[in-house]
Amino acid sequence: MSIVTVISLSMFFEVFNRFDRWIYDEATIAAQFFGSHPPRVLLIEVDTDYEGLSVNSWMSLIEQVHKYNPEVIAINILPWNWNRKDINLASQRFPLIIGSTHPELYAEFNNIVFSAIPPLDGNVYRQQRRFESVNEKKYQVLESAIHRKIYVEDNTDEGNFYINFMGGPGRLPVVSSKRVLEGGLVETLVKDKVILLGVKVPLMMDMPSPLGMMPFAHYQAYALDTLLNQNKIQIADIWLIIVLVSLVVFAMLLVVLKIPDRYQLLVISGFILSTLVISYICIVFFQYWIMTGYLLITEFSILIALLYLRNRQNQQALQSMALNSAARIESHWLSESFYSSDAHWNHIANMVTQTLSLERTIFLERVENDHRVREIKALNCGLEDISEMRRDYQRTPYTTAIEQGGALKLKHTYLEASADDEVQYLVPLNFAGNIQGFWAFTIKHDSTLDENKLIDAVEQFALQISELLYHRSEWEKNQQSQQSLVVKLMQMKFEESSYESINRSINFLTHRLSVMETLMDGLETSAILYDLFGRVVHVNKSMSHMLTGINLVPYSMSAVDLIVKLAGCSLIEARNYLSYLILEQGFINIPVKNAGMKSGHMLMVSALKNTEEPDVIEGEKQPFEITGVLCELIDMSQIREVYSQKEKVVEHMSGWLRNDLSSISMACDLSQDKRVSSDKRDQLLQVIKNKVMVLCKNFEKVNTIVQQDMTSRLTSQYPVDYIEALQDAVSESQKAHNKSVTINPVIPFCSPLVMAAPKELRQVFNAVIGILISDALDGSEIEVKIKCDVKFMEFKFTNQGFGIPQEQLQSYLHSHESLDSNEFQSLRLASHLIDNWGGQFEACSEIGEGMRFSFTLKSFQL
Amino acid sequence: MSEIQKNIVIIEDDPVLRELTQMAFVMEGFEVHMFEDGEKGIEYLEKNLASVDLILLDLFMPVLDGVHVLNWIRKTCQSSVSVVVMTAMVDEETERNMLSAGANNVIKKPLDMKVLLTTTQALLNN
Repeated sequence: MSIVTVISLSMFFEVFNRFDRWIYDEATIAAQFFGSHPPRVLLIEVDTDYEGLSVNSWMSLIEQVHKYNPEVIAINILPWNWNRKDINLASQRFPLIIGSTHPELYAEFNNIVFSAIPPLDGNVYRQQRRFESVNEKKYQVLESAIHRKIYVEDNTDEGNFYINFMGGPGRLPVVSSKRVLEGGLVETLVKDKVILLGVKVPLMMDMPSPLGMMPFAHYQAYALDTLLNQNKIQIADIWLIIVLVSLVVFAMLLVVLKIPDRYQLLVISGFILSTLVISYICIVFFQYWIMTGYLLITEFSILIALLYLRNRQNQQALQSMALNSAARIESHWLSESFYSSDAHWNHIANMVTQTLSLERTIFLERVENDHRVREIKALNCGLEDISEMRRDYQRTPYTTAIEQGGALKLKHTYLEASADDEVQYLVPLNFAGNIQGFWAFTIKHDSTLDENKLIDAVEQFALQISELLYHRSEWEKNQQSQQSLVVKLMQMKFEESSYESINRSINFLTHRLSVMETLMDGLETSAILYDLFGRVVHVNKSMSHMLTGINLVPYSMSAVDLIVKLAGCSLIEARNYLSYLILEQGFINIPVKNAGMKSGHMLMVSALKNTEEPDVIEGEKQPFEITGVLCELIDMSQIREVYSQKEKVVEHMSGWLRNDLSSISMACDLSQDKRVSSDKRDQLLQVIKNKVMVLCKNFEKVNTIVQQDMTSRLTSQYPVDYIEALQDAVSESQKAHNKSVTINPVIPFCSPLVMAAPKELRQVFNAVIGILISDALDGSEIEVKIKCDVKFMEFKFTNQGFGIPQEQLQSYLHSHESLDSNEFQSLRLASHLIDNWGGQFEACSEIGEGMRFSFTLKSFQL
Repeated sequence: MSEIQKNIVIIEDDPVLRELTQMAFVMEGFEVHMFEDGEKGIEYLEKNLASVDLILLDLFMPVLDGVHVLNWIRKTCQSSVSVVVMTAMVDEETERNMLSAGANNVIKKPLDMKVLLTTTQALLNN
């Protein structure tokens, strides 16, 4: 429709025609540099002297011209001071043709013809008439009359003709009447030429022509020369134009649609250039105008249409791709069933309740376009248990929780029917800068609970639940938009634009990416991800910290460089490792041998394989199945410690075994002695039997211990060698406190293993020694006494320090309040750990004397 | 067989091994006193060290280990009584340490009765 309108309007305003004529004029001007036919016309300008030129002067002028034998002498406009007698006289004396604007007044003269104003073609004169009708009588126009006089046989063409302006403004010779009258005319200029005496008509303006503004006489001279040289410009027939345009369209579409996109513009430009060259050749050499403007418009239209269609097609493809990606990304996060059923919220409520040991929990969501909240899921309580009845999140306690930006410990009852020892919390669920809802829960008061850790965990959960709520709210909005068209129109709700949809997906994706990055950063394992070409994609904080510590800059190193630096191998070896990885798609473990790093690290390099279903046509393969290389620095020290502890158990086992074997060996030797009575021998045999049985049992017991997973938190006690843990704690605490306090623990030569957890035992020693150093006087000594009993090891730590009141120390250890001091919080935890291991912890303090901590740990007994 | 009955003290925490060692030495005509840990051993030795000819000392014991007892004998009491250390630790470093701490001999467990008796006899004869 729009195309038809554009074409109609263009036709109405002659846009195509004007453009074509403009091109025509430009081509004409450009053609002036080429040679043309020699001029057949000499123009004698009768201009400034016109008013003063008497009839005699006229006659004299014509006489001057006539004596050089011109072919025809013509006056373009009958001089105003000529009467019929003058006309008659001049006509008899000379071969004269005179133009007049009113030839009908001089009907008796055969040589007076019509001096016609040319037809206007747009705003420019380009043509001239052959005949002009006055009062239904047809008169020959001056140029045509002269032509017919010379070429008598040519009387067929009666239409207008296009003047050939090629050769430019100076092509036709022009002489002034003054020069002629002064005898300045030469024969070569005049002989066998048509002499046009061009009168400048007063009040007649110059005429716009393709060569610019031009006097009427000049225009007539060009028209006359065109006729005499028979080189008038032929304009192609409209049918020919239609055929040409059709051919161009067909050819262009045929070529353009078969070539790759990147060549299309080039080909169309070639078409346009060819059209210009061909039309130029036509007009210069054949005086034939092929309506180039129409052809160019057609070609430009195709170019624009093509660009438009291509752009639209690209946009549609892009939009479709983006929308598909958006939908795929969203479906990746959570399926629709998650929102449409209640089961998942049950699961979430149960999970957080069990994980965080909550008593009661309730999730509230924000009502859309309102400031109220409603229940999503509650466990062991309900919405009716909430004491405030407004459910308005723009009021307290909700606003207080929002201001706090995290879990708010409530001082007043929020959930009713609360037990005395129940502590209540309210957590705002905030996602993407908007409140999505609230989470209220209660826990039972527990003195051993580290509240800071609980709050941290709660806030982690809250972040995830907020995101779920956000998706739930989006899903509900989407559900509402699935209403009938009438309802949508009534509510002025329209389809979500693709921009919004994509923008939303990108936001979610960015959020997910940020979560993934945070997750990777938060990993204890140091990791660095490279792409297939060994360039860094991501470095987590731990790796960055570790590499910076040994003066390596992660982002400036390739995967090969990293392997070389950490594994201490050659470049060739490192390349071989990587080529093995990529070809075999496996992983390799290389021990780290860098002087700057602590021993006990392993560099694990693995190839990341693309396990997703390739979204390609069947038969086509992904260019790369390996998407990257992951390098992880794995801290083996914990595993080493576990093995070291197990080794210690085996070592001790060896001691017991040797003891028992001693008994067996001695008993054997004695039983073979003849001095031993048979009763005694029997007793000795029984001893051997018993010892063998004990040995078997001990073997089994040790085997069980060795098989135990010492890293598991579910198993709280193992036989542990305390010596290394104590020594490490002493050196670390001394370094940390930067105090000149001497600690020289006297460790018994033969210390048994104690029943504890290796990592936690270090914490116990750290806590105890840390406090003692903090409290100790500078330059004093901390006494460490270790005593082995049959069943217990006893540790006594005493300092010479400032001390604190005994009551305060006991309160720190036994009260249920959370402590501001991390040191005493750790000491309290140490005391609980020792209790759990079956030991006893005692603490004494006296102001001005210092502190003393003693505790026992069970010795490992078979 | 000894003409004058020699007095031997055994300090060993394993009751079975203690009894068996005592039996072996009694059969050879020694007077034997036994103790289950270093503390009790020292308690006896404080009063009777001069009458003791040889001490068989286990290294690894609760309450007070063999190293303490040996140090007490050599450093506190300045006694030159023969001390044979019995140990389940098989490393050479322990053996060197014990000898330098004043032990006359170190016998590694599991014990061989003949080796034990020969070693003891040799020390007593010297």
